[in-house]
Amino acid sequence: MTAVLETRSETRDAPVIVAPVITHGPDDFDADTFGSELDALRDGVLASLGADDAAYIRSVITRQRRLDLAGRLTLMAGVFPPAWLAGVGMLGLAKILENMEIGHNVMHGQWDWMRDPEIHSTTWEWDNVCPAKQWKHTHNHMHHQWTNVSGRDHDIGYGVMRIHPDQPWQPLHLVQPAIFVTLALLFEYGVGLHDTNSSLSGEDKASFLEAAPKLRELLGKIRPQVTKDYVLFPALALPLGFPSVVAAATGAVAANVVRNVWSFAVIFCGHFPDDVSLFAIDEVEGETRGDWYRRQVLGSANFTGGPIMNLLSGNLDYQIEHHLFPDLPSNRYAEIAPRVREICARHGVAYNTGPFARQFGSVVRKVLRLSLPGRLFAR
Amino acid sequence: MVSLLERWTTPLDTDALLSALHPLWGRVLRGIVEGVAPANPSGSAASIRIRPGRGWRPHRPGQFVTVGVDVDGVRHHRCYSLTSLPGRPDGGIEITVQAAPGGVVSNHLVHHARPGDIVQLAPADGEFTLPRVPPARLLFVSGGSGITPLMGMLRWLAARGEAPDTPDVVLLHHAPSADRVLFAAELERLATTLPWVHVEVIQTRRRGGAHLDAGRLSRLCPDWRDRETYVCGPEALLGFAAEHWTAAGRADRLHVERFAPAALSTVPTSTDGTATARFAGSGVDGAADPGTPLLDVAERAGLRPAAGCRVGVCHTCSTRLDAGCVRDLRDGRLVEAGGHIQLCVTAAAGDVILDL
Repeated sequence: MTAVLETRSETRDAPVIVAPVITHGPDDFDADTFGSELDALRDGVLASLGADDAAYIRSVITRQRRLDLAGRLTLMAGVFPPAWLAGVGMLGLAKILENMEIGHNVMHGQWDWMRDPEIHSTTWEWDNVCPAKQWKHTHNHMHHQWTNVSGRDHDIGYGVMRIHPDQPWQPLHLVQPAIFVTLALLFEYGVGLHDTNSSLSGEDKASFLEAAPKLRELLGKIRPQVTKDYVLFPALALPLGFPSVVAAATGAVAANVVRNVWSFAVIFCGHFPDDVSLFAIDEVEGETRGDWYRRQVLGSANFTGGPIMNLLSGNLDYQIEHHLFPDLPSNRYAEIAPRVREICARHGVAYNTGPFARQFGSVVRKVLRLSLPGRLFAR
Repeated sequence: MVSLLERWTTPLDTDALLSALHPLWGRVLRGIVEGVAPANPSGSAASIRIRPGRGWRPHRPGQFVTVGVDVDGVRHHRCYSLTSLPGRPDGGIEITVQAAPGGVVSNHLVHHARPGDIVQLAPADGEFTLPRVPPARLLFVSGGSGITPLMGMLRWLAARGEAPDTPDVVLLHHAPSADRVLFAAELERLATTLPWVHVEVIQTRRRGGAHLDAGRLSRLCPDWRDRETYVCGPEALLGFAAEHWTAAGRADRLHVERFAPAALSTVPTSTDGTATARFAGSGVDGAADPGTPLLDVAERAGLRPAAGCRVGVCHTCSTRLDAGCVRDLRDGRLVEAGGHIQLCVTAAAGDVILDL
């Protein structure tokens, strides 16, 4: 099976025909059986959800909130370098937990089954400059439904990077190594601008005027976030002298950068490592549930790690399981992963996993190589 | 003050942060279970002592409290009459729960509640209460767990001591058998120590036992017409009371309390065989058949609910199901009211009310 990838360039409306996409699997792929086996796996987890799962997420949330507060209070004493480092570590870790294991997963509806209005996809707002509503649109809808479909999933290089050889090269990509580093440091702002930016591109792109409300909404989220982190909490250190205020503020900056770089790394490992497939729109037309599942597997990549990595990555080291079942509680991905892998193996669907360093290394290599025209390295 | 504080806690509200430090510190009303004790000889009922957080206002005797309980991780809300004295010095409240066959929440509370459990609370509510100055003559009629609001009243009356306006109280309580009588020991003690309390326990499953009728009422309480009467119990008992007191021209003296779930009684009933989806927030009804996603039903009814993927992935169309039952079109599971549903992959299984 060979398909031609058709995509629209950012600047012109005419379709650009680019390189053919490699075959996505064996021709005798039995989508219906593949789909029903994965459905059965999902049903089994849903039926077994209970008090232990609820206790898990509540405990993570409670500890995260205490850690966040402890980190901010420790930063009050940030003029002492060990306190500054400890404060940055605690607050950075708290922000990582809030965004990844809690916020991202709650907003997916993973915990809606508990019927707790305080831990619910319709009410959650996260500690990130991106408004929850915009995140849920670009991420839950556009990215998860249309994973790695050119023109639909705006997460392919986030509209600013060439991350797959099938994406057409543009002069902008020459500077993408610099974009890569900048985006890592300021990732929450990239995430924040993503919905506005993607509404300005694609098939039914909006005008700047139409995108303005989204931008206003974003600014309405950035303002309280920045004020809290860089003004109000540091101001509490005022009785200890001005240097303490500065130390608390720089500590908050560092904690946000720590969170930005780590979440950037985890997310870039999800869909950009070697051997992750890209799809054309005409390939996914009329796809069945089994086809959709297969695209999620082929379009995602895991990385290996233990329980600590699971927690720190918000269980996105199980990106494949997350993409198959975005609304299953994340604490269950580890236990179903062997079953998913076994089902994929039987159906000849490639299951992409490897150590974090290898997966992230392959992303870095691609970012560098694809900044220049042409395809990947010769193999 | 609170909104100023929330500039430090954003994007959380102060409640979220405070309740992470201690479950009762937030502004949302919660309670912590302090004790669970059997409330009848068979152990099929339990009195549960709860310490409410800040914001609890003392109830009036006979009122109920809505309790949110997590059972197997899923939150359920139920109303229970308060059986404790209002404004106890330790700040505690008590509900008495009888495990109903198949009752998810009642069985959990009676058999699995433990000290330290956190429950959600709503302020005390209800008009089934005694006036501040009690009437001179009272008749309490109850069946099963219907005795709980009356017990709240009786304990309050007893705690007032021998005041000059102490009323004369007759309690007619119905229970299937002796070991299922709630508060059995306490009722006996009250009846023997307080001259103004008369208790009759009617065992409905015993030989010769029966439910209340006109003859039995006249025999057990000949002056029932002259008593301010409070009735709580099964529908049959309430029906008899309403009919009998109205026929005697004494409906104004009758106060009744129903334990039936309030939400279900407001489901619109279909007349032509098709189910109705009521979109409560918009005041619109739509015809809902069992194969059509509720998102389509809403759109055909002229609504434009927020929606995204339309295949159950993105949760954009999550909407609270207030009454009725829906079927998940992906796996056939039935989902009951009380939580959110994804409109795009669920269809009405009978009449439903949606918060849309």
